[in-house]
Formats: sequence, structure tokens, C-alpha cells
Amino acid sequence: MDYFSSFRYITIVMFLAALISLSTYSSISRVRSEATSFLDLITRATPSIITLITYIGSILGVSLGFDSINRERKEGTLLAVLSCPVYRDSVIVGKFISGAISIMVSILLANLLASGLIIAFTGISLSLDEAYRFLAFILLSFTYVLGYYAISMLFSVLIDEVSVSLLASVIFWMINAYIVPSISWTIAEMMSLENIEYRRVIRASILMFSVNEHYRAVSICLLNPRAAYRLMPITIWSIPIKPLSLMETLMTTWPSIVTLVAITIICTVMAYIAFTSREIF
Amino acid sequence: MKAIVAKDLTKIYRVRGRRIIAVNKLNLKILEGEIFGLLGPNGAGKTTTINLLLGLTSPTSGEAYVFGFDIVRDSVKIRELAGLVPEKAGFYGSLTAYQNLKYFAELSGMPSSELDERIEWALKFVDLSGWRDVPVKAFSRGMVQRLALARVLVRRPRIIFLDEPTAGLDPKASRKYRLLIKKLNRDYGVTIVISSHMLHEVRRICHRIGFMKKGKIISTGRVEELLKKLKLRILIEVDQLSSEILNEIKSLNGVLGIDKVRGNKVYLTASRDLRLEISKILIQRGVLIKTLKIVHPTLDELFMQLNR
Repeated sequence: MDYFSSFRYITIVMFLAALISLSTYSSISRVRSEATSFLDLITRATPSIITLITYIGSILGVSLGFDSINRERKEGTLLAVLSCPVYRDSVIVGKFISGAISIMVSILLANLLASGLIIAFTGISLSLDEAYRFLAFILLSFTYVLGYYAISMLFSVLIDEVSVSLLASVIFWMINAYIVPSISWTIAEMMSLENIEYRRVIRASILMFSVNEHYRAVSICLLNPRAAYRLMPITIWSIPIKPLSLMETLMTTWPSIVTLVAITIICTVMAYIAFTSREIF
Repeated sequence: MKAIVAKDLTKIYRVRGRRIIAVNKLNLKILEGEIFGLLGPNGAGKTTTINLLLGLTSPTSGEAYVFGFDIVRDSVKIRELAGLVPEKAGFYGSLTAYQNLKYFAELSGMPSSELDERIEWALKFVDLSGWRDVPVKAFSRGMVQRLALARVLVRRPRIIFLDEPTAGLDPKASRKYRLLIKKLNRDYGVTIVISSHMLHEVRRICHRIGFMKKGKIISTGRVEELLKKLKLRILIEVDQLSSEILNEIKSLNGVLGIDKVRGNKVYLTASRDLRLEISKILIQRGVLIKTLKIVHPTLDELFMQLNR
């Protein structure tokens, strides 16, 4: 009912904030003299903000969504809510919006914390292009975490048992975070191809099936104007000469952006249809 | 005015390819201001009927109206006028009684200026004013059920559906609950529909009852009227009972069957009063008659008879 006051939400957001603070501070300490820009400092943190949001952000999305419906059904509060003069779809829409707001707050908090530390300790300020890129990164991170929330909420609508919907959400997360990347290495090695380039292509092709990899690839390109991107397979390489403008970055990374947005929209719509058509009792 | 009118209301579920007829061409009329008991065994379709009337699920066929509003087209409007106290009343355990009632009241679109007053009144009505600021997870089952009634009362509904309201409550808590329901109906004219399989509970408070079996209403009426419809039971107790005497009594026109034979006591079912004929047989046989009387049926027996 109230995400902001839930122990689960506070714990994960505080954990994310703590890790971002530590990694950003260590980045400032290590590479301050070498760093030439705000984005340079952001991307050089270890672990980077991209890595932290990839893993912890997705866990946040799962933790908010996996029991959003089935727990209320089990505890009887869903029936209590639906017996009020409300339309059924307003319940699922309200849940989605409240989850989205909670996720946006956490993403903003994480990014503002990192940027605040950098600006405070280094005095480096953002150029206009960097500011737009950073904003685009925040929006992308929000879409990515929202996608995991939508998927988990879908499981919560379709699966009656809270423990099973949690398991399904975690399995989905593991497939994207670990299994697909691991399989990509294994299959590439099993092909035993002499040509390293072929192995890289095979691996990159398999990585296309990971939501995390789409997010990671676009994030790298957004935060690094010298990174170029290709979808088939997902490949990123450095441009030695002229950095790309934000528009050029977006024009090349749009397939992965569309993938992330599509997953979110499709899962949300499926959850909506399932909730409004299914017998609740 | 009729509070509820249902015509051939039907609900069929599909579960793993199987058709389950939960409500089967149900016809029902409930008057405004009465307490109506919906009786039936588990699986009779009582809860599904309530869910249909509240617009929480759509009927497969048929129609029903609650205070003139169609259960399909005007379900939200119906829920403005109606309240539900389900068998398992769900609350947010970490929130207090007041916070829970406020949340559900706000969900119903109640103006904030009226909230506090109505919540205080509802808590007072169910005798939970002293528990206003206590988290609901600390409440006993009886208190949760009363709080569930308070949740509905905040909205001042015209009709309240109670689904097995006293299930799991001890006798004292059940009695307290029954008194609240009676008071609600008597002092505020609220129409009440109680779904239950506890016959003694229903008998004490309902003006009329309807028996449900396999999704249909098989009998409705006042309790006394329904009891009159039962077949007669006659108790015969004699000093000596032989099989010849029993067979002669069985052969009487109007005897429907022998229910029980216990020693020299016989319970038989008859379509009319056969005491005169039975007494003639017994006197002719020289048997001493200890007891020969009509046994008044109970609601349980009515229920069992209708359930067969």
C-alpha cells in the first residue's frame, strides 16, 4: 500500500545510495586528476553507476512488483478494495503509477547523489550536452527498472502464490543478469572457433536476449560520447576522432531503447488485461 | 421497494476445462428493510450470488438489480449503496483501525470534511472506539469482524451483505455481532443479506430465509412458514413393539417412512396426522401407549430435508 514507508523499499534504496556514494567517492579519489569531465568521472567509478542500477535497480523493481497483487488477494484486502465503489482497472493502474513514482524517486536519488558528490568534491560542472546525456540516462534507468517492476507485477497477477511469483521474478532476473551472459561465454567457447572475432560475434548475439545487456549498452553510449553502438549483435566500440552528439547516440541506440520500452509496455498491458479479466476470488 | 430482484441469474466458471455452475438460474426478491438469510451448504453458491449482486463478477446469463441498478452496467453505483463484510475481512495489519477506515473511506470518495465524524460514529457503533489507534494486527477475530462492519458503516450503505459473518467467532462474540446487525436494521432501516450455513444464527435474526442448493434457491419464506411445509414427524413410544405392529403401522395410508426405531420408540414421517389410526392399531393389539405425539421440526431438519 505505501511503498515509501515499506522496509523493503527503504532498505534497497539506502543500499543503492550507499554503494553509489562509495563508488563515486572512490572514483573521485582515484581519477580526479585524469578526469576531464563530469561524465568521465561518473563512468570511471568502480562499480559504475550503470552496474549498480543494472543489478540493484532491477532487484528494486522485482521487490516492488512480485507481490503487488497476489499478496493483497491472499490477505483479503483486494476484495475489500474492490467492494468499494471503484473501477477494477483503477486498482491495477494505481498500483502501477505508485510503483513508477517510487522507482523514479529512487533513480533520481541515486543519480543526484552521484552527481552531487562529484560537483561538490571536484568543482567540475556539467556542460549542456552532458546534462542532456545524464538526463537521458536517468530516463533510461527509470524505464529499465520499471520494466522489471512490470514483469514482476504481471507474475503477481497471474500467479496466486506469493512465493511462486517471487521465484518466477527472480528466475527472470537471473536469466537476464547471469544465465544469458554465462551461456554466451560457454557457447562461444564451445564453438572452439580460432577466430576471436567470431567468438565475440556469437557472444554478442546471445547477449541480445538479455534485457540487462540492452540497458547496459545504451547506458554506456549515453554516458560516453565516444562510444558507438550496433544492435546486430550488440556491440560497442570507441570512436577515436569526433565524439557523437546526443541525437546521434540516440539515433544509433534506438533499437535497444525501443526493446526496453516495449518490454515495459507489453508487460504492463498484459498485467492490466489479466487483472481486469480474471476472477479475483 | 424491492432492494434486490434477480431473474434467472447464472454464473458458470471454467476451471481447467471443466464447467462449474456456481449459480443456476437464480430467482430472488429481497425487500428493502428486511434481514434476509441466504442458507445453504458449502458450495451452494451463496458467496458467488453475493459477488454477482455487488458487481464483483459478471453473470454468464440472467439479470439482477439492486435498488433498481443493473449489476452489470451500474456495478460501481451499486457499491456506493452497498457494503460487503466478507468471510475473511482483510485489513492492513500495520495500520491502526482509524487509518484503515480512513483509507477505505477515501477510496470510496468520501469528502474529507465528513471522514472523522463518520469514522468515530462507526467505531462507536461497533464498540471499538477504544481501539481506534491500535494496529489491526493486534485485533482478535471478533474485533476484526466488527471492524469490517464499521468499514462498511462509514459509507452509510442502504444494503449490507454479510458473508458468514460469525464463522470462527465464539458464542459471546457471535451474540454481540447479531445484536449489532439487529440494531442496524431496526434503528437505521438498513437492508441486510446474510449468507450462512449456521441455521441457529440465521433463525435468530432473519425476517426471511432462502435455501440455496447447487446454485438455486429451492425455498424462501419466513422461518415459521417453511417449517410448516415440512412433512409431519410422529413419535410413538410403547411398552412392547413387535415387527407385526410396525408393519401394520407402515401400511397405513399416509405413512411416508420410518425414520428411526430405537428400542420401543419409533419416529415416522407422515403426510397427515395419523395419530388416531395409530392409536386404534395399538389399542387393538393391547399395547400400552407411552407417547404418541407430533414432533415439531427444527430448522436443522428443514435444512437437511431440503438438502436431500
